[in-house]
Amino acid sequence: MKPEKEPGAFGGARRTPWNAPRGLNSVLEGWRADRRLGSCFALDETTPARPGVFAPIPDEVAPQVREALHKRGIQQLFSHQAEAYRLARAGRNLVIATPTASGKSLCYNLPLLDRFAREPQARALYLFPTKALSRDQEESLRALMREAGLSHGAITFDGDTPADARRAARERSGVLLTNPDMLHTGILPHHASWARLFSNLRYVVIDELHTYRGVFGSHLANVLRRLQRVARFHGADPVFVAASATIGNPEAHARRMLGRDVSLVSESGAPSGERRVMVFNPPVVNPELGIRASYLKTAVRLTADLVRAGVSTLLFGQSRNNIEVMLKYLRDRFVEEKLDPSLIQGYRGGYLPGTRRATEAALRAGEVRCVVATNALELGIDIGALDAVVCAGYPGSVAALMQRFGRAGRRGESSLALLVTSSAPLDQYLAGDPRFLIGSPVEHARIDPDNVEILVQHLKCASFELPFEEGEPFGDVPPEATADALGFLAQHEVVHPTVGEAGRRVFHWSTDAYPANHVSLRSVGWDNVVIIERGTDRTLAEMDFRSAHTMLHEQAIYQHEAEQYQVERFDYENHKAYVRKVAPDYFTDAMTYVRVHVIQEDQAAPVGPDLQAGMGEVSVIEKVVGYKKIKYHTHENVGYGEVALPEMQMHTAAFWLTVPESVVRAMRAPRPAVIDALRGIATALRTVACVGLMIDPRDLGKTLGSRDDAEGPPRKDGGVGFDPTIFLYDNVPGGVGLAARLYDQRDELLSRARRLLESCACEDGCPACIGPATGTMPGQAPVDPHPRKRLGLEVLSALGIAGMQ
Amino acid sequence: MDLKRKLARLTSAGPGAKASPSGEARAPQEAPAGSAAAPSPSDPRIDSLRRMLSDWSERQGLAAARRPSAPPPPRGPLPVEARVTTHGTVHVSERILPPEHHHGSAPLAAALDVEGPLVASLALHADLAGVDFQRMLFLDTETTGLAGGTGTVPFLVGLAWFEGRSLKVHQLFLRRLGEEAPLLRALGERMAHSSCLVTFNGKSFDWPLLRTRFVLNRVPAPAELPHLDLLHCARRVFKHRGAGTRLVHLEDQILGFRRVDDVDGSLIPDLYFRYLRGGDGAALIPVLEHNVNDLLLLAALLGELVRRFRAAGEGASVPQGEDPRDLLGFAGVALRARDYERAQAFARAAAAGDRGVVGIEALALASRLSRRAGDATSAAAHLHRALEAAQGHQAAPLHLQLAKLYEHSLKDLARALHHARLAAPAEPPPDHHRRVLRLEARIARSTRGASLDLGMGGPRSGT
Repeated sequence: MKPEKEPGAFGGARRTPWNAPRGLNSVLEGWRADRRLGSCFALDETTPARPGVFAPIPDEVAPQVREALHKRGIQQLFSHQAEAYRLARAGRNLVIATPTASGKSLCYNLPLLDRFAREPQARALYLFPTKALSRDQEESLRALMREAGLSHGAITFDGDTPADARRAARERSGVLLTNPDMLHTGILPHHASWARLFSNLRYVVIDELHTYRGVFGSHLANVLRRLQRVARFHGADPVFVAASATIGNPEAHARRMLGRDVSLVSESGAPSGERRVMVFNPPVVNPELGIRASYLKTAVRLTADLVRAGVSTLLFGQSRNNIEVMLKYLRDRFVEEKLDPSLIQGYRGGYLPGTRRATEAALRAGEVRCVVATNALELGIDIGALDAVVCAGYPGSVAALMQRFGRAGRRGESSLALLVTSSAPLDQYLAGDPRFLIGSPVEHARIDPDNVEILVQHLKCASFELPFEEGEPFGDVPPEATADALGFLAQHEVVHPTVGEAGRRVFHWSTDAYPANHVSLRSVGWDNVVIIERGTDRTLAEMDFRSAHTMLHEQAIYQHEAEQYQVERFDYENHKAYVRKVAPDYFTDAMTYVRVHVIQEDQAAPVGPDLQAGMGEVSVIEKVVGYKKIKYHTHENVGYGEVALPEMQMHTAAFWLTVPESVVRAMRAPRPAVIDALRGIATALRTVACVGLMIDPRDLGKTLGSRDDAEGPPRKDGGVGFDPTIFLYDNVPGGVGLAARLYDQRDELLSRARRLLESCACEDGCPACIGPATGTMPGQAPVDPHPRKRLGLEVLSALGIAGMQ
Repeated sequence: MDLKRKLARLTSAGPGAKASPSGEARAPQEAPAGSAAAPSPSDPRIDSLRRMLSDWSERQGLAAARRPSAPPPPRGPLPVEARVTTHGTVHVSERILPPEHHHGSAPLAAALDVEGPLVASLALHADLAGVDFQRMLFLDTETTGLAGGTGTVPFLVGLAWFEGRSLKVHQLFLRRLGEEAPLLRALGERMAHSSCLVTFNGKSFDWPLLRTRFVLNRVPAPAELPHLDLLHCARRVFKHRGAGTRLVHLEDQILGFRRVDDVDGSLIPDLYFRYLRGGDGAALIPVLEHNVNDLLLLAALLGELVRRFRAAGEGASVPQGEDPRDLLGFAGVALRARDYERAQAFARAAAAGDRGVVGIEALALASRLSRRAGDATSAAAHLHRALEAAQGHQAAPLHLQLAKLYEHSLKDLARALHHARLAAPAEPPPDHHRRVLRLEARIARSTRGASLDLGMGGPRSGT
């Protein structure tokens, strides 16, 4: 496990000594020189090195803190660190959005330590999205405080904190590190017990701000409204310091999150070396079906080249399964080549903390040359920097990709950031348009804290925490709106109005429930389903009620940590699924039937001469009708099964496009083929929408249906069929504002979808563009084969959608 | 913007709307209705929003709906009296119970005769030894929920204390939410006159909840008093009874008091909320009664526990007719309180009263105490008696004790080995193996020593 170990030292003669070049540049030259490989690079850009911009440690910094910095060899700060200190010290709320490894934690730790040095009873709250991150920060914060001679202490408070440490956390600890969920259920509803923390709360630090987007982010924004309300009750008005990865709208996102004005620190003063950013799109091996070479095997092959040449490399995979597979392939390859396989280590959630710490340390020390990791290593865990980062598959957002890429680049040395694209639609879109990945960040983190469903839930929690007085705002929700919502809760007897001083109504919590227990931040809506293993009665996991319909129906194969379980019983009433371990050669894929019914059209406008766009509230009815058995490795369909579960109904917001039946009939193709092409266009629209809105495909539902009620009266014009309508809807009860944004950007959305179809290299539709042909279901007539992609383009032309130049 | 529009539409539905899922019971309008301007009623979105929100509230209410609902309340006024104090108006229900009053079989006033040191032993809480129990304060609250946290409000704070040998019950009632401050001040004042709190599970529930209320209402919290939580005492004493140690069980089994028409505790929050929403005051009478009974039970239980614990003291023998399970419980408490003499008396009495599991455990305890007192012979005798009664797996631990006793105290290695061999199930195999080997070796050595003395047999090589 020594980095200097020569391959030859491992014993045995090497068969092909000439393919063992040393160093990054020789590997890159080799790749480019290889004709077969060279043509697969969709992007090869170099971002130039940048020198560091430094600033002296400000004079106001307390001497003992300055001393602690000196001890660490810090004689001066990066410019952004000094800027953050200055702002925080002046009591400004701020967001720091600088690249990975630019010393962000010092940006928030420095003003805090300085405050501690001046005010012994001061307290601070740190929020991290994961437990692992808070433990990590706890250690480094403690070390820093010790070096500064501060006895404030730092304690992580989460579900694992033992009882006596909880008491210490409440009574003594200067810094409380926790996560939004714990703040929501464990701290705020008991704030009287945390009076010492809240009355002396000076700083609230929110790290990884960009991870709080969509529904989760909207929840956090409301938790923060509650936090500010409680702090005010205890007489404190803390300064908020947020840190974010580079996204397009850090300032706006932070402002929306905090409901306050924030200052932005985005100019990094940290030096960075030259970086080669590349995208490798595995070659097409089956042009008809648009099938490409395995991106996992490709990533392994390229990574092996790097590691063999002594380039320290981090290989990211998308799932636990993927990284285990790649780890095995890499080690097998090394054993075959008579190299030391222990130079390569895995890293993912589920490995014991000790093992992970050891791998982190070995990586920092250079004893391990390659780590194959999931996103467990993505967020701020300290492993130092490496020469190369390879991502097998696009992680779903540019911000996440950049955060992974940010791991590459030792001080001043050149580095490689390589994305190997899979055949997933998003990946192929990026391979076709890789400029998206470089240049200024384009993704926007979006939240909608005023989402009625989310807001009302947190208003309940807030009423539980402190009674509301009429005229009191809820964060940036104005007093009138707050009072209106409380009036609604009073009507439902959740709160009880009394007349307080000056004749104002005061709303008191008035049920015997503990509301925070009924609000899960990570998903909105229904309860969770508990997955129980039969025989051991062990609780394996929990799943939200909606996903349970497709994943936990009876006979389904539930996959968990690379083990397979079959669902034997789904207790729908009691939200329990009983599973048993099995070893099948197939997995299951549920077939769902989705119908969208428009409740209220909020906005509507024509797009071109025929197409009609609309936006409003819809009810989405979803029913699982059956499942397919899909064989491992070959992915062939080996059977079907039926599922009998009640349908689910969800009210949400949708964006829709209605194609007049006349256009469908005017196409020179049979009607089912045109409908199928429209389905494909919906797929393409969702693909470009996901890229544009920085959301996960799961956040956005799509279906093709009719605006008219299926059971409604027959069409007035006497025609058969219906005006086909493409629906893209917020896949969250109540909606999170995605549909409205799609409606606003409908023209660009359509042009981008057209360009996706045009630029895709496939012959006639592939998963990356217009989607695969609809699978046939038992008892259903097969769809006539037709030129799917060409027809899709013709439909778009008929609707007057031109490509974007 | 969007939210305000949605919510404005929401309230504009007005009190007549079907937005309330429970229909019949609606919040009384204590204040003028919301000031939102009425939008046109023809807007179809109102319906959809209303539906959306009522769906949502239905989901929220689902859990609540599954619970049993309270019976129809009786009619009449609430039996509390408004008293104007220096802290503001507090609503009080008060009664005095005469010195001869019994709760079930136990006289309340017996609680006045408890000795601090005995209570301290029972509670395993040394601070209580010096407490003046003439000035104790019994406390029990009825709350708007069991969840705890800042949103749970104690709406009835039941207090009781002795005046002379009469018990004064003083229940503070929260007539309206938001009027807690006078109540809390009155409680604080009463506590300032008291020497300690006596509760049942008050250390985990009632007191933390009240402390939270002081913080939330910005009323200075009174100084913490020594706290006697009878839940823990009762658990230790009555743990050998099969039935749980819930308050009502104890009341029935220990004091022979059975409540008539007692209100189900899980319904209490709902009864109070109904009252708040304009319901009849008399509906809360069962809640007040329930609370009074809890307070009387506290006094009775304290007197009873100490009376029975006292019985074995000062060389006096334990009276006949006591339940051996309780005697064993008392023995265990006395042992933990390091009152060994009392523990021995209880253990022997328990052993005398039971030939089964309890008797065996009592004898094992008596043996430990004898050994502790240096009387190894009695210790062994207790264990042998226990062995006579022991069946199956009960024997092995007794053999193990005997093996230790014979090896270390009574120096009878042969007997020690005999019992050690029978003790296998009571200790981990390696320990057992070692014990037997050691005893065999010691016996071999001593026999060898003896034979050498007799000059018989040659010495073996010294391995």
